[in-house]
Amino acid sequence: MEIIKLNIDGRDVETEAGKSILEAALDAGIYIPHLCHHPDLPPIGACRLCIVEIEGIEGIHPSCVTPAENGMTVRTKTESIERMRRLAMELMLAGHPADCGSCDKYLNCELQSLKQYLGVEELSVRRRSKLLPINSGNPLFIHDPNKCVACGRCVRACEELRGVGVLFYVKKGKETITGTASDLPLADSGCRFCGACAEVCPTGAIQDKKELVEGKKRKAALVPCKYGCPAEIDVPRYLRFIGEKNYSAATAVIREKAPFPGVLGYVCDHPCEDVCRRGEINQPISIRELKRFAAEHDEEKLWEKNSSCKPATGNRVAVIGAGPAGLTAACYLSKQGHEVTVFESLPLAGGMLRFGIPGYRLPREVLDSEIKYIENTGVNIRTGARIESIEKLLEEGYNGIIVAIGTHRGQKLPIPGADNAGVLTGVDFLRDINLGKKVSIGKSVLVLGGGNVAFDCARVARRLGAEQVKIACLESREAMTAASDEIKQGEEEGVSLYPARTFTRILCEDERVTGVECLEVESFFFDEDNTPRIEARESSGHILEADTVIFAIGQQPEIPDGFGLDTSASNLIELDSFTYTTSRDGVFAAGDAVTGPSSVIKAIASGRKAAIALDRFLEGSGNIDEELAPRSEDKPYLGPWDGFASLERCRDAHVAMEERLKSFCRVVQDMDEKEVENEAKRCLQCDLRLKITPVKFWGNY
Amino acid sequence: MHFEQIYTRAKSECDYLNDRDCIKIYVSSSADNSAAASVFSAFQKETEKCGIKARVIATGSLGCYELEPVVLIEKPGESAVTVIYNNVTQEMASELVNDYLIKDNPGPDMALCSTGSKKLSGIPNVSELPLFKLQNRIALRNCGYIDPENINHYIVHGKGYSGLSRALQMKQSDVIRELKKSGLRVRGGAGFFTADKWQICHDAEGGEKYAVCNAVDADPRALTAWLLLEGDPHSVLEGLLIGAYATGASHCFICVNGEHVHAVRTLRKALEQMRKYGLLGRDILDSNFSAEIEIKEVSACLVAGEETALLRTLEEKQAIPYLRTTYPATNGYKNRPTLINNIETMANVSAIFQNNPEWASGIGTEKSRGTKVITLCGQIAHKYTVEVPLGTTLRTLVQDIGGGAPDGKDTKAVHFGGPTGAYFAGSSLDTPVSYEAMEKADSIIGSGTVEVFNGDICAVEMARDAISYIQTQSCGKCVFCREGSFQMSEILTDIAEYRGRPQDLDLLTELGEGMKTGSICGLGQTAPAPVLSSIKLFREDYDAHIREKRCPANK
Repeated sequence: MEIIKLNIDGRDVETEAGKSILEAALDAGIYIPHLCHHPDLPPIGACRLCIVEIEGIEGIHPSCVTPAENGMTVRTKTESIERMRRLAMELMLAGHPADCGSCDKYLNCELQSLKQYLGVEELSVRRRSKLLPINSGNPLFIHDPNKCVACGRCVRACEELRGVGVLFYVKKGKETITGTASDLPLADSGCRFCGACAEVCPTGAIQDKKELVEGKKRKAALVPCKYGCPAEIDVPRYLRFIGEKNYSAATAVIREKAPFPGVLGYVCDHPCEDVCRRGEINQPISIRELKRFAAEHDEEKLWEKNSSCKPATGNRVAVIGAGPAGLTAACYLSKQGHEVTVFESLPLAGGMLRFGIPGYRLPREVLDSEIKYIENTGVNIRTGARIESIEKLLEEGYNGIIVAIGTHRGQKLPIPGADNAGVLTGVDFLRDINLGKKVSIGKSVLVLGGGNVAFDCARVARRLGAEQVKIACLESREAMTAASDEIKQGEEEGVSLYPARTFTRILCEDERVTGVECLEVESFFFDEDNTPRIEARESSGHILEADTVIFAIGQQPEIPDGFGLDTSASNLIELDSFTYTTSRDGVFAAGDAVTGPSSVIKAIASGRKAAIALDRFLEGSGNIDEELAPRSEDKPYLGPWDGFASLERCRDAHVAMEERLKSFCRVVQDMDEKEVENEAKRCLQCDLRLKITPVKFWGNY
Repeated sequence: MHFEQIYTRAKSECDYLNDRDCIKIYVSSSADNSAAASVFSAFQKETEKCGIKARVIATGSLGCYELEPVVLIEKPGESAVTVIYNNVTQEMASELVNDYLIKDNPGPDMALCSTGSKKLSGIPNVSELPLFKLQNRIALRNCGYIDPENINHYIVHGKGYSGLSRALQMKQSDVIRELKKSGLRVRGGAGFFTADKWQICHDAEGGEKYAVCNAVDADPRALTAWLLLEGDPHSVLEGLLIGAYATGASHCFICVNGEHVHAVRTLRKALEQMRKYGLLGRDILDSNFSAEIEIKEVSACLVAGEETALLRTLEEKQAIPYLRTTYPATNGYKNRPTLINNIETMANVSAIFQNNPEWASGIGTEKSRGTKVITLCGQIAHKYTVEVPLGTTLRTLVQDIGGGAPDGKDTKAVHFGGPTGAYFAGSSLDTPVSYEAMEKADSIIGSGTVEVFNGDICAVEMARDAISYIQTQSCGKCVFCREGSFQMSEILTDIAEYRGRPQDLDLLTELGEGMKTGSICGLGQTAPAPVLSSIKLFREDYDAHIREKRCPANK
């Protein structure tokens, strides 16, 4: 690389040959005002703020497009430069609204910053209002052409950075702004919705819609799938690999954050899909299905090859509970070089993955193989080993402990009849079924509760031969916490729903349950103390008949007294949310036992955090992140795609209803590879936007 | 095929052209003149009926639109004579066949003029008419004299493709040297020497090269491209091929206004006919030069005259100029060396090689060799398109050829060179049309249009209309052109409507200077010329508006 020397404003500056005078100056910390220039875009010399004088060459030159040459003497501030710069700025401001304070870009606007730098307040040229309509009809972005100064950054970002080329300079009467051909909506123009235009816009002309970003951190707002994932799995990155049919690399990306890609592919509650920006255009990407496909087609096992364990530290760690939180923590602690033993009171590892979630939702071989991989990292799982005392573990020489005991105690409402033998709790019912025990239920089952556990119970009951299965819950149908596909599949399988009901009594005859007395709920909400407030409708009493009643209204951890841990009012383990420590030194906790019943991905994320905390406690780095997937070359060039916006989400494929009820066979069906590719390529690749170089304001120089 | 073989075949296919017994009747008009078709068939029917051995030939326009259809009747024989008639009708056609062809009465009352050594009584010789006398047609040499849809006419009548044949027998460097001798400067743009442009492109490294002919009238009032494409497409295509050969390009583009349907059709036909003669494709004229020409239909706008905008159009992008850090000749289409010349330049090139460089360099001024196609428009008696030697004064164009203002009024101003040219005062039209004189006057040769304004016009409104048009044509990419023209248009509107402020003239000047140096492309850099020249020439008009709130033109 050739280094050349030039003099800018009396300062000797070195730069690489091929750089422009502007780049050379900025690199050297000499600020030259500029607007149409952006570090990632080809320069066009349009705004003329960056003009300079060069000794020996007549005239004034835009420094962004003038190559720096060896021996050049450059002046960036002379009277004639200042005069022309000021005129250029005045010309840009002439048609730009003057009320900066009312703009959402206020204090974050390059034009405003430059205006202050140049001290332009009064204009010698004619001011005007463009009076162009604001375009808020597109998803994701809002376009206010009145604020456009036609710097052309969005046009270049669209054309040259992304290769999409749907933004142009367009004329609106006498005004020039940027926009699509024939004013087409972005969706009809072939836009890829990558957001590069909004990212590079120096004014408030193209902005993210307020409701999508307000109050959120930048990354969480712009790449919500990744930063909305409790474990921060890099969703866009693995979707890109899936689009390239590199399933092994995709799985490796997932495994960089979670040791259960296959499990998540079946049962993740996918908060990523709820916030997917593609959902603003038509439907979110089917992220979970893609994840499952990748995990099940990972032939190469790249992650295994790239994975490594740190040298043994000599520390011994005990993890109590072999659910997703405990196993995740165990897995990462083992990789950090600690000797990890997991104690599980039940005869098999897996926790709620095995004893809560029924097999038709999560095939056991998927779970088994992922647990096996964790064991392969050196984790010792001791099943049928119930821990009653922390003290004893410490005495046995464990240096650190993670309590991840889950919430295995089901709750019942304290109403008459609840103690009857025909009244079960969901968690016991599901555990017994999964242990292979014979559970006798009647022909008519009523499940009380509106969450996923309620649906699990109801759908299991259907598979056990119950002819009539009902679900009744306090919440209105819209407010039910169960996943929408659970509700849909449950209804398909003949489960009938009775939402918005409160239960006053379980009716029994001759010691046998005959039904539940209910009232209709007029309103149900939580007050400021988070206490539920229920208002029942007058004289709405009625009976839902059933011979078996299952409570699925909540679960709590069973914390042995010997643990000596502080607990909260709701009987959960108290945790310092910052250090992840419990009330006992060296004892950490994770999973549902801390949070109450929650999702698998949250349990995994919590397991990671506990592992980090414990590793630090054991004087490790606390850095459990792994680089398992190949580093992918950035391919920010998306290319045009007519009809991209209208690409429909792939269908959800399920086994036929008649087949489902015959056994506990899995319900979801696989997509074919073409469908997978199509679905992966629907991704907007929002993460590319974060790779655009941020612009420095003059205050930064 | 060799050139000689082609020539022989062309001659035999149009033997009537050299047939001393065959009368030739040329019906000349623009393609949109419907009267021409009926005149054409009237001559055909009438001559057939009378059993006269004659050939009726439809040609493109001569550029004297108001005289069309123009008919040239060429009587062969010892003392060959051609009589030119204007505004011919069907009735006149049959009259002429009977009176002139049969009875040998040329009808002096109908005739415009005659050519040839024989003097016909009552009919002026062509050399007596300023319209013809003052012209020297090089680029337009065949327009009106050949059938544009018949390549044989171009070959036989116009020595067509002999220039290409001659060039192909020379080394590339010799072709460029020969062009250099002609002194040909590019028509339009900054008046670069054409040979220098070719040399840069020839010397550029970088694999495949391209040659482009800009055949769009970016200034819609300049009718050069339209006239040549409809009247003599081969002279352009031959020039393009010579340019491609000299620079080492094999893929050529000719960019045309897609709305000129007839021109596009004529061009397409021309390319088909070239292919039949082996003038396209592999081993042209038995040389080892191979080339293809692709027609590119573009939409005409002022900015289409910018090379960089044109290149982007070729790349299927928006026609927006970009700031050149290198010449297109080294870094153009697809970042490859690309020769770009406009249609008038290309038509000159073929003429130069069909003749010789000394011939061409003998016309014009010392620094501006050759001719320029000029279109007269505005408040002028005759709105012709003519081709005159460079150095011809504006006065000659306006008064002698154009006949001055239609109603005998004074000419207040002449706007020369297209929308971004400068104004010249009607009282001092001695400025010659040459690169050096125009540069001195802060103006351009540009499209070569001469727009005439008479004394009734208000200078402020004139400048306002000019800059407002430019404002609509600015691509909007750079601040000074976009906003500068916008401001100028607003300020001039204010002045015209008596809202002007005394400091506005300084502001206009400052904006103008800013636009000249601060704009990306030639359009923006020249855009302030009408306003700046208008203020200089007609300062009193501005002062009257601003200070006295009155318009001197509307007394």
